[in-house]
Amino acid sequence: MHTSARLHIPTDEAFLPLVTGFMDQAAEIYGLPEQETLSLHLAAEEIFMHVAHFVHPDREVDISCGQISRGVRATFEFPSDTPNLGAFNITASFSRDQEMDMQRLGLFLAARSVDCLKAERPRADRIRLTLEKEKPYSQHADYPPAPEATRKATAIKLGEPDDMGLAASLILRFAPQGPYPEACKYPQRLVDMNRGQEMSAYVGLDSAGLLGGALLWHWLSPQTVECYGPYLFGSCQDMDLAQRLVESLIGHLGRTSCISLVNHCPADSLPPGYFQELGCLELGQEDDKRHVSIRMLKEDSGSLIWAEPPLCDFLQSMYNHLALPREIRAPEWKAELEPESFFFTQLSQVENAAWLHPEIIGRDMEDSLNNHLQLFKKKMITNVFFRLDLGRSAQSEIIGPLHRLGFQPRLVIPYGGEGDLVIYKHDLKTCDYSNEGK
Amino acid sequence: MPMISVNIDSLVPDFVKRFEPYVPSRPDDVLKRFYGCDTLYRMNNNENPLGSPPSAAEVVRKFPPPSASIYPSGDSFHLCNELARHLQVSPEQVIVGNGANEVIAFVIKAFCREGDNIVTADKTFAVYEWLAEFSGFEARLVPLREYSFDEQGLLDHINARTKIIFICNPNNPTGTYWSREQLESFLDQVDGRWIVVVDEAYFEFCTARDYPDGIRLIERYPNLVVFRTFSKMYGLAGLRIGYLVGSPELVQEVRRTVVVYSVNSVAQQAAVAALNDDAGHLSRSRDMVARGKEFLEGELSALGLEVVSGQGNFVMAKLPISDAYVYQKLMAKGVMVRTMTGFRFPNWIRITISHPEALQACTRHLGRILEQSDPDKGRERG
Repeated sequence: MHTSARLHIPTDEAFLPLVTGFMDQAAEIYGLPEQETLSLHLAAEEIFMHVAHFVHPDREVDISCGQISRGVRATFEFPSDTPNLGAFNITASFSRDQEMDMQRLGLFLAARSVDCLKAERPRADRIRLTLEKEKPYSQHADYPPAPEATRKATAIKLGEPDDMGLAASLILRFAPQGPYPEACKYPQRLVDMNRGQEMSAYVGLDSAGLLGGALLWHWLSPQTVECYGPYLFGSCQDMDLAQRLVESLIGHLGRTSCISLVNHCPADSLPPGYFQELGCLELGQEDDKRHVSIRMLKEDSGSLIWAEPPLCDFLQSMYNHLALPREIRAPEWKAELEPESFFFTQLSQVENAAWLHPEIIGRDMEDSLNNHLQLFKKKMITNVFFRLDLGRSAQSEIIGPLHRLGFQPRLVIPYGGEGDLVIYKHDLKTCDYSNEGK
Repeated sequence: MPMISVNIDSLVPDFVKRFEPYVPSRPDDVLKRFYGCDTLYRMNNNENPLGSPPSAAEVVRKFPPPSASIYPSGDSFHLCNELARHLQVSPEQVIVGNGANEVIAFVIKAFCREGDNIVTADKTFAVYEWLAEFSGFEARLVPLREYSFDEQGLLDHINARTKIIFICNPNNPTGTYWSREQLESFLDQVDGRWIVVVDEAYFEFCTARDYPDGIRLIERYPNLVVFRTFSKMYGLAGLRIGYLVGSPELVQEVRRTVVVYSVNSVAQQAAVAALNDDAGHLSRSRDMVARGKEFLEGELSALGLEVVSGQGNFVMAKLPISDAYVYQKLMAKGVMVRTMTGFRFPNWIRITISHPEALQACTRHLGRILEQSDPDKGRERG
């Protein structure tokens, strides 16, 4: 992994050629193909021009471009006396006859030119935008079938990049109903994620070195790991292999910062005694329920949780179920909100789902959420999830709107964000579309 | 005034960035508030529930407040002399530290340089591994064999950059130990090429006839260092005081890395008093541990649990469900045990031998929790 290249320049439009030239050359050095480099160029150009327009020219912007195993990641960090970021939303649209909309067109184009765009505040007075542009990946069907173990697996090891590609292929063959990480559909992407330490695995091998099973995992937050599996391949595997894979992972994580380990597992392959049932997520059909389990890895010393009343009963019942000591309090003050919200949207083909991550909670949060729901409905996306981080006080502001719009809390993942993470799912039957078309 | 921009991240060495900060348990009053319990039986840290010997307790009680404004003896002068007299070594062979953790750091700092490594077991007291890694040195970990340090495995993991081998005797948390014969055999094979640390934190609790006194071997093996502590048997954990003993030439080198004045005056004086206590503290404690172990082993076995019990004031048991979940359920009943996932023993707990009342509370509540739990779902039934 290379270190990133950096620019520190005034927010002056005159520097635009420097910004785009920097981005082009860095992306080329980091191996991004030409077409994807052009997209990144466009995004960088639009973001810089937007920042230059809104931020006083004697201020400065930090720009970086670095290699990640899947492609290139760029960041823009600048003073926050700027722009509303609502134009980054997947729902954003513009019209040519409104001046403000034209100004926001840049952000709209930038958001659609890259594969991932997130906003955060490293400090109260600054905003950091992170963009990722990935290499193009072929689907699983374009790869030759992987051979599975023909004898009982005897050895467990940390998966290497090549093992990940084989594991992806075998997971799709032996557990086609899921759950599995979206990246399994693009085996080379999974390989690259492993190279970049974004996805790891323990694999079981038979005496011929063929894969008999796998347990995939990645860090969800600095304190939470999400794992998928164990998956068992071939006809001669048993629960002993599943148990050894689970014990290997727990043993590995036991002396890391991981506090909670979340599991998504195909039916009947999770060994008993290691995880607690956390809940389940329905994916549209009655019989398509994804069971989610959890294991705490450390002794919990208790936490204070800030949450608005509509969520408190649910939280209390979840904490009782998990035997976790939490003191739930209503926020004593209101956060100062920005005018516009920005919800980063992740789409999952496997689950026909949209996952909403609140990057910025603005005063328009309820309207913006409603616009997102309308868009998903039009796109026939039946599963809409929302991640609420109880460790970020400003996010408690959105609890009321979520409940009014028909989102229902389904899971709590302890330490899944900066604090505990609540997973909401939208119930289509209770959706209020009264604002539709306004 | 704008805030000065500092890129702290660029100043931090990579080996420190890789290391995760240890988050200790919260104070008892906070834990009791969160878990809603009035009392707390502490059976998590292998502390001695009988406390310190009476004479040491008296020193703490009568410590004159004006002395708090005076620096302590920088090298724990009187305590080193008293330890030397008790252990029949010279004072130059003793270094006292702010708990045994500090003397572990002294030894690593004295002998390791960039690229070096230490060798120890994978399932043992974590501090050897932690201190090595956050000092930038590799910890080469050897799997236990039948819950015990694997002599050949340790030798096999030594390479050209190995400097120190850490052996926990008896091992925390399994209680297994090397006999004098095993230890001598290992030291013979090491043949003076590497530093061998034998951590005897639970020395005073050991009653097995073939359990060795490492200090008696130092004269023959000058590369041997022995750690002991006042935190366990002597009940002075809150004062943080431990020590090492080694050959004069080895200790002279370690002394270069010592942080002087790190051991406070009360701790030094209480430790001297504890050493000289003849009021039967040691035998009372050993009796309590023997009776407590017998009770606990019987009760845990009756619950159908696999039990590992050896030397030291603790036993380990394997649960059919998550150790962290059981910890949380027990805490709600005022019983505090230690989860073993962090020791790489998933689903095991370690229980410190305590008063009968505490042990009874522990086994009673543990039995109820297990009865109400469903290993298939890892949660309470109904």
